[in-house]
Amino acid sequence: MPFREKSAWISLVTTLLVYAYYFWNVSNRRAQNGAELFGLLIGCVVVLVVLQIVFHIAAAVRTPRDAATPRDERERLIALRSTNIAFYVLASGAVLAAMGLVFVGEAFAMANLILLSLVLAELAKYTSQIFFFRRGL
Amino acid sequence: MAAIRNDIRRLRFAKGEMTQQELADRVGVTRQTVIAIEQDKYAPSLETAFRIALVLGVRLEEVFSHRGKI
Repeated sequence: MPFREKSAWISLVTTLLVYAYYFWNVSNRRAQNGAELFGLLIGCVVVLVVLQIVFHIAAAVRTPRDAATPRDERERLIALRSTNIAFYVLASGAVLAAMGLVFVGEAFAMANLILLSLVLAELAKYTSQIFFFRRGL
Repeated sequence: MAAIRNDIRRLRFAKGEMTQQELADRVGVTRQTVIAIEQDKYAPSLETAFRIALVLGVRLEEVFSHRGKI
C-alpha cells in the first residue's frame, strides 16, 4: 500500500478511536464541568498526536522512498477534493450546533457539537482520500 | 472512469521496457500516479501529459486519446 494511503488509514483509525473514547466519556457525563472537559480534550489530543507520530514513523520506515517523495499533482488534487467534502460536513455541523444552542441553550452541548462536527469533517476527509486513492478521480 | 485513454503501457515497453518507476521519476510524479493514469483512473494535467509524451519520445496524441462525447 502506498505511503499516502497508509497515512490516511492511520489518521482515520486513530481519530475514530480517540474521539470515540472522548465522546463516550462526554455522553456518560464523566466530564462534569468545563475544566474536566478541557482536561479530557487535551488528553485525547495529546494521545492522538503521539499515536499518529508513532504510526507514521513506522509506515515511513517500511516505505522510506515513498514517504520522502513530495506530493504530486494527483495527490494534491485528492487532498483538495477531500478537504472540499470535509468543509460541507463541517458547515452542516456548525449550522446544527448553532440550532442546538437556540433550542437547547447549553454552551456545554454546543461546544461538543462543534467538536463533533470537526471530528466528522476530519473522518470524511480521510475516508474520501482513501476512496479517491483506490477508485481514482 | 476518465474519458481520456492512453497507450502508456505499450509505449513504455517499446521504449526499452521502461519501468513505471523510471517513467514516474523522469516525469516528476509518483509511481502510483503513473499506475492510476495507465488504468484510466486519473486524467493528468496538460503539462504532465506533455512530459510523458516527451519522455516516451512520441507525440502527445500517440499517447492520449479522448473517447468521450463532446
